[in-house]
Amino acid sequence: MDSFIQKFNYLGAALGISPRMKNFVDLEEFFLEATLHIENDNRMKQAILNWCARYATLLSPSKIRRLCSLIKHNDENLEVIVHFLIERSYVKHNWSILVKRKIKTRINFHENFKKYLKSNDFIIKNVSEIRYRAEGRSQVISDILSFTQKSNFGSLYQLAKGIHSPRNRVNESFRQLQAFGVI
Amino acid sequence: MSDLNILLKELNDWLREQNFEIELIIIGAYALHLHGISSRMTMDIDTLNHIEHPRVISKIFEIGEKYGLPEWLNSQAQGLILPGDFYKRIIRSDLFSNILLSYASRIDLIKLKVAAYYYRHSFEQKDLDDLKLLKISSGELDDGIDFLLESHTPEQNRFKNDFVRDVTLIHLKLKEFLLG
Repeated sequence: MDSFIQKFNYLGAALGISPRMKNFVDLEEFFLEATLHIENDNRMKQAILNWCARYATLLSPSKIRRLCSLIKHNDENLEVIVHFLIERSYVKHNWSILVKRKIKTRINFHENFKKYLKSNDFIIKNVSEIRYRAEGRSQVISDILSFTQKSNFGSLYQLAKGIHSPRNRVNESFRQLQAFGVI
Repeated sequence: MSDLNILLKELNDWLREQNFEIELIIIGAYALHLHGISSRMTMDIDTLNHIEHPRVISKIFEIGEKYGLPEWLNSQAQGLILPGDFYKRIIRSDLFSNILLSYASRIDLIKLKVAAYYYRHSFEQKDLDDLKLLKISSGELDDGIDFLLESHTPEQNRFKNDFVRDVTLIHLKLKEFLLG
């Protein structure tokens, strides 16, 4: 739980001061992990929902689906959160690949970014994982940039594993970034 | 320890350098923390009083900007209906040298939380979490309900009956959730 809160505060929750995160934080992995903690208490729930309302649009539903078999999460809570995001148009309908059945959700949600999240300016400035996505870069390229700024890696295979992305896409994107001197 | 103490310490250090003093009268989740009750808190402090000095206001904002929390210290609670003799029961803290910190007594926190629960339970459940942490007694719950009825009942008769009925329902709900 402490490690989740630390990550969550780093990614912008206003539940504590942002710690310095030396390691790359995978946004889709974090989203799945959040499904395990959303019922802990009501402030946590509102903070998670507010974070999702603001930033879920930057996440990749296909990557989330791929990670479902690898990352521990709560299936029921995942469905509820995804339905909530789609119903309220916080994300597009391509997120429906993550739900098995159509359900009508009743979720207590109080949109209050100012209370539950740090300011967007601060998050964009300090959280590279979110900043690169917000700048319009693809999920793979954003994660490569963020990961390589924080961590060393021995091979492109390790990089692909580190950012939970298909090797061929990582190879192609990495070579492109190298070719233009970005990394 | 709350991370809010880090921001308050920064403010206190600056106040000391400038030879300023401010007063903060605190309610809400941070007040619970000052009572030694550990709860999940958002990074904001609700105060009943307003800070007037422009340089202090500017410093509060600057500290908030540094941590991505521009509204960490706010007086949005100013104007709240308070229990009678509230200020006679406030508790003073000597945590900071240049911040005269005082906070709501336990019973007043309970009264305010019961009122807050009444108004926002349909969309916000954190007040219930806080009441659970306070481990309130049956008598304290009754005091909270009495405060709600005495201080918040609408003057117009046509609204009064509905209000009393709704408060009675809330009373039963809270009894069930908090007292078993």
